[in-house]
Amino acid sequence: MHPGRGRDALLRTALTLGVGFILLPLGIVVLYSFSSVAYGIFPPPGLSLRWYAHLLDQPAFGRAFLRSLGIAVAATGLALATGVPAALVLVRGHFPGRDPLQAFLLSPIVMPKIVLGVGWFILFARLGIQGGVLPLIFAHTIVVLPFVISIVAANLVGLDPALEEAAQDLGAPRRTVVWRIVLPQIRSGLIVSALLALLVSFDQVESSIFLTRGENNTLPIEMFLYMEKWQDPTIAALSALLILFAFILVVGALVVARGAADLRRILPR
Amino acid sequence: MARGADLDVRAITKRFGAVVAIEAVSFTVRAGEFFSLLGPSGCGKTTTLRAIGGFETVDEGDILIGGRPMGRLPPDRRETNMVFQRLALFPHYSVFDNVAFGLRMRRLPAPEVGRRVAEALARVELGDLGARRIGELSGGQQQRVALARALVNEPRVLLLDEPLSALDLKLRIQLQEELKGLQRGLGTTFIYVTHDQGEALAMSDRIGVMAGGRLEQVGTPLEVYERPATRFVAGFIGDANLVEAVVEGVDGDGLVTRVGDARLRARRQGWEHAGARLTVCVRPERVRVTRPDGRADGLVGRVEDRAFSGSLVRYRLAVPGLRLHAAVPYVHGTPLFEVGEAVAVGWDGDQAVTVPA
Amino acid sequence: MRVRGWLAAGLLGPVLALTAALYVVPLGVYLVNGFHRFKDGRILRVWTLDTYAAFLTDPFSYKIVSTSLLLAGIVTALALLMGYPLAYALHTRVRSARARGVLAVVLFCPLMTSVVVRTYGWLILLANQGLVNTTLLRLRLIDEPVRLLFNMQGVVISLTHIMLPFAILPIYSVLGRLDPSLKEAARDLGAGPWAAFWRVTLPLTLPGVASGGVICFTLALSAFVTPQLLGGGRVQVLPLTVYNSTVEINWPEGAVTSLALLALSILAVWAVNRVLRRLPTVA
Repeated sequence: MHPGRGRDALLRTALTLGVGFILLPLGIVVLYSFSSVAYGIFPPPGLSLRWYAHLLDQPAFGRAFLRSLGIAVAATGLALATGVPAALVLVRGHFPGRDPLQAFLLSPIVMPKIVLGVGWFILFARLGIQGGVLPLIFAHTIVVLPFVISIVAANLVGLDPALEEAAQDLGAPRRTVVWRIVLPQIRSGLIVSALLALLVSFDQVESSIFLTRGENNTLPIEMFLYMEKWQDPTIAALSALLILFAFILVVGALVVARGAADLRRILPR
Repeated sequence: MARGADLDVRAITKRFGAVVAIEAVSFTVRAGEFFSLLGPSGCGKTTTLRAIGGFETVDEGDILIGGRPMGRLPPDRRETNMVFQRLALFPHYSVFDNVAFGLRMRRLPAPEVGRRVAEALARVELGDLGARRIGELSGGQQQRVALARALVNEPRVLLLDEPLSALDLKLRIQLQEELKGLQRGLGTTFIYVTHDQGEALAMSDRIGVMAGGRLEQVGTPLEVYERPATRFVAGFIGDANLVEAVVEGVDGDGLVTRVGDARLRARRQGWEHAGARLTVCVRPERVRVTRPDGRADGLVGRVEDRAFSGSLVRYRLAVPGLRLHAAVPYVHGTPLFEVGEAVAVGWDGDQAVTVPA
Repeated sequence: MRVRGWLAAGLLGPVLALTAALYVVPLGVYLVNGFHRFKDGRILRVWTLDTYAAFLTDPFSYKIVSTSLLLAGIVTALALLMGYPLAYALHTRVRSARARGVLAVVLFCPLMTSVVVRTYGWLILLANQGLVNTTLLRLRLIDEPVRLLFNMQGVVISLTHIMLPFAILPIYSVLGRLDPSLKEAARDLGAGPWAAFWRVTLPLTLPGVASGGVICFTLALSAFVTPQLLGGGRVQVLPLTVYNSTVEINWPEGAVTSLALLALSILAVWAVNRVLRRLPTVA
């Protein structure tokens, strides 16, 4: 039973307006990156690529980008290495305290990042390893861990246990079962959670702002500090590139997820 | 005066994208009749029911209830009520509030609502369960609540979408009887959708058999059983031996057809002519299996398989060019034939019918 | 495959070590500072409740807390009010797999671009010569530009935008699990489209609204970048206070404020969970 024509139009309008609202800031940033003037005015009087050129003149952003990328990859790797086994235990294990443990491992999501940021600042200062990328990697791992665990756990829940039982019946020890039976089945979940972890790590500001000094800023912090001082469209150019970067990663994740869904339709359940 | 309304379905067609769900379906139901739409999954019976209720709009044709064309009227403006297949009971309301919903939508005063709900619940024998939540009830009880919720609004046509399919056999049979009694008592027109032909035969005044989006035959249970109009109906209702044959000639009131060297007799219906290809339909319980008696024009075959099921003995018989199934009633003393044994196979000419090939 | 005993311990070991060392310890070490005193630019490691007392007796603390709660509350309400119709429109109007994929990209892209980028976008949009003011002026709805930047209004608008996907997703998910025949049954029993929504669809999707609301509320409560960049110093919320205290090395004050922030977040989650537990479920 479909909505009547009047309500149909209303819903379609709401959808268009909503999507427009959601995309508006991104769109305006991309538009401004091509503006010919430095001050913000709508509409921009002319188009130019000068801000992209200006961007290329700022090596600090390029360095910060690579640094952020490196930290994101390392944090994601560490989160996967520790989080996937944890998800396995949470889903398949039965022991008292499992639910509180799950709540604990997922809790960093609701923790105010600024609070964690100060905590890390103090800890690493006391340990004497502040500065450098290592504290950032550790911090981002904790931030990203709940995303990895919850997505991997959700994927594990849907698995047919009979496949693992069959493998064990045929003589496979448990570690082989995990490596050759369980992990391949959740391959798309692993990829999606890795991509999400990369993006979340990349976006960290308040959790990392006390861990960086001028020379080792991450990209968002570099941008944040720049924006506190200047607001010329160089930031817009950089932002446009980052939007493109995120767009590619999101489409990639969806293609992977869709591919896995199709595969699931072919394979017997 | 019967409370129910006439239903007139006129050549309705409904498409979903490129798929034609129902095509040119027409039938009429008299007020107060118990009418079933019967067919396998995907035959279009549920789509037809939903079209009557207003949950689907038809692309062609129209539906008239009590003489009034329904057009594109939504469900809340039709005098129909539906018992949904998955019941669709509101989980956030109690039993009472579920049954009262339709009455409250019509803004009836509270004392009236209370009275009618109590009456409806009593009618389905759930009198004192009004305060319970839906989740606390058994399958059979939930079924009755769904029924009460629909009937309390005194619809002129009640639509039932395979309401008993989720219940176990015993409960199903019990509720079949209750539903039939309820319908007779109320005089409401019932349109009942099911894929279970035994259920349809037992409960209905008339049956509409559907397949592939089209209506194959409409008739009383006796008619669709005794005089199937198409090969599909013959095969779907009850068990049947369906043999393709050619008309050879006429023998008094009967028809003689030929398959290979065998001659099969059937009732003559008038549309057959010599040389016509058709399908002979004879039900297994009407096939006689006896010791060979040497008659020249009888069928002689061999028992291929035998299955004993208490009250019946089922034989699978190989006759030259054919395979036939027989279901012979078993009482003490009935002869049993072994696998491989030669037997005479036959039936009275008027126990078989023909359908167009 | 059962995971028990030594295997479970082995699999959990790394993550427990990691979270203990890098999550529990830093939080603990930091929050303990709340029991120390800050004086003359140094932290005195004496055990005292003075810092807490100072916080609780300072009227400014209550202003900050109320601003935080107000901001989070308004943003959550707006996000839900906008998010529900959007989730509903997505649910009923978007059927094909391809359209769903496209809309997933549209919804997720903003989530995946940095919050700094999105805030910057609003910085441009809400400026006196930005798109919003220019459009309103052209439509003659206002005579002169409205101040939408560096005040509460700007923060509310951009924070709502950031929270919107978090409101839409849980509601959309619950709508998807709703049995469609429930709405049909309501219509069948005489309810018009609005009555069917109000009496059946909305009550049964409240769990989604509640969980979307609590996510928005806690995220808005701990938001830092947006109030800092768009608030112009006029929007004093708890995360900003923590930042300022830390920059001055006044960790005790920061710790007390952080604990207040944490307490409010946990309280919100707990309260909503209590309500959620008493709501009827859909399936």
